Amino acid sequence: MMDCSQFRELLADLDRPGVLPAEVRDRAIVHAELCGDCGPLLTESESLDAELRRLIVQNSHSRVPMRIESDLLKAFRDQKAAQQRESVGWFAAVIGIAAMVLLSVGFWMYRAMPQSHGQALVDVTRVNPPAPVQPNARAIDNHQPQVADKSAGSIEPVRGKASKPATNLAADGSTVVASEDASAFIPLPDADYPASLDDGAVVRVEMPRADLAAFGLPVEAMEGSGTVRADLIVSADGTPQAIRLVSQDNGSTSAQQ
Amino acid sequence: MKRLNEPTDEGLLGQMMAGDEDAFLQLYRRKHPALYRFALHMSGNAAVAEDVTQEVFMALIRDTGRFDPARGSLGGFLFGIARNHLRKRWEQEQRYVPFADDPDEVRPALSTTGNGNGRHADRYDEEATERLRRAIATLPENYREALVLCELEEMSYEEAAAALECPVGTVRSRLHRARALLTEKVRDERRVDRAPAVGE
Repeated sequence: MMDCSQFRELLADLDRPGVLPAEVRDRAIVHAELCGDCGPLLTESESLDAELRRLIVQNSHSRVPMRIESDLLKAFRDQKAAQQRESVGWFAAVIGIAAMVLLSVGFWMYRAMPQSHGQALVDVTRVNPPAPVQPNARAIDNHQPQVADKSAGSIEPVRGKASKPATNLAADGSTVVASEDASAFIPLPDADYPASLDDGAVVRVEMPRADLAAFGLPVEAMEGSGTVRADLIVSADGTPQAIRLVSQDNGSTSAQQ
Repeated sequence: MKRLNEPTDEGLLGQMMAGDEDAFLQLYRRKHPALYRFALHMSGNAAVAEDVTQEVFMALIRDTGRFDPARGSLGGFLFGIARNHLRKRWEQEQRYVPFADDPDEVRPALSTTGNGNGRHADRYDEEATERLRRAIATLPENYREALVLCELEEMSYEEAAAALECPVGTVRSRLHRARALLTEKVRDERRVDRAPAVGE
C-alpha cells in the first residue's frame, strides 16, 4: 500500500509516459481515490496538465516571421563567401611563401655553385730537403694561393684549396684534374705586386728544371726529366708574382682534350 | 513521426558545414519552432524570442565547429545557446519578465485565439491559459526552464538534462518543484479572479 509521501513523490510523473511502471501508477491512483488529502492533489495536477496542454496547442500557432529565415539565409551565404575568400587567401599565402622559399634556395644554390666549382683540394707535399729561399716569404690562408713560410729553411706547404678550378689548363693543353700534389706558392724575387698573391690568375706551366734556380727553388732535390710542372700567380700586367711546384709522378694526371 | 530516409541533425549539420544551403534551411525549419517557443516562454516577449532564435542560428552559422556530438545532441547544443542569449539579455536589462507588471505587453504576441466574440467556455479557457502563462513567467528561472522543456516542449528528462547541462535527477526535482509552485500560483490567481470587487 502506498503512503502519502510516496504518492506526492510520484505525483508529477503520473502523467508522463514511460516514466513510471503501470503497476506503480495504478497503485498511486488507488491511493489518491482512498486518501482525502492526496485526492485533491491529483485533481489539481490533472487540471494543471490539461491547462498546459491547452497552452501547447496555443503555442503551436506561434510562428517565427519569414524575414528571420531570409536574414539567416543571407548570413549563411555571406559566411560561405567569406570562408571561400579566406581559403583562397590562405592558398595564395601558402603558394607565395613556397615560391619565396624556392627562390631563396635557388639563389643560394646559384651563389654557392661557382665557389664549389672553383674549390679543388690540393694535397700536401713536403719539399725536402730545405733549399735556399727568400727570408720574407709567408704562407697564405686557405682559399687563396698559398705562399710558403720559408724562414725555417724548408718549404712547409699548408693543406688548402687552390684558388683556381681543378681543371687548370696546362701549358701543353692537357687538363689537370683535382687532388694533385703541389707545394705552396713562393713569391718570386722580382714580385712587385703583393696584392696579386690574393687575386692574381694562376697559370699552369711546364718549364726547364734549370730555370727553377732563378726562382730560388731547390732544383737539385727534384728528380726526373729536364722539365717540371709549376703554377704561376700572374699579376694583371702579366708579370709572374709567385710560383709553386706541382708533383708530376703520382699526384697529378693529364688528360688530353 | 520521423521518416526512415530523413537525414539526422548531425548529418544535416555536416552538409551545412560543407556549404549546403538546403541542409541549413532544413535544419533551421526543423529546429527553430521549439527554440522560439522556449525563448518565448522564458522571456515572455515575442520580439525577444525572435531575436534569440535568430542569434542561435547565427551562432551556428558563424561557428559550426563548436558543436561536439560527444557532449550531447544538436538540439541540446542549440538550447544551450538560446539559454545563454536569454541570460545575457536579462543581465543587460536587469529584469526578468514583464508579465507580472505589464501583462498586456506580451499578450498580443502570445494569444492567437479568441476575438472577443467567442463563447463563454472559450473565453474561460483563454483566461485560464493566460493565467497559466503569467504564472509560468513568474517562476524562478531554473524551474521555468525545466517546466518549459519537459511540459511545454514535451522533452524527456534525459533530453532536458542534455539541454540544461545538468543531471537527470536535477531536472526531475526542478520540474516537481516547478509544478508545485505553479499549482499554488494558479490557485491563488483563480482565487483573486473569483473574489468580488469592492462595491460589487
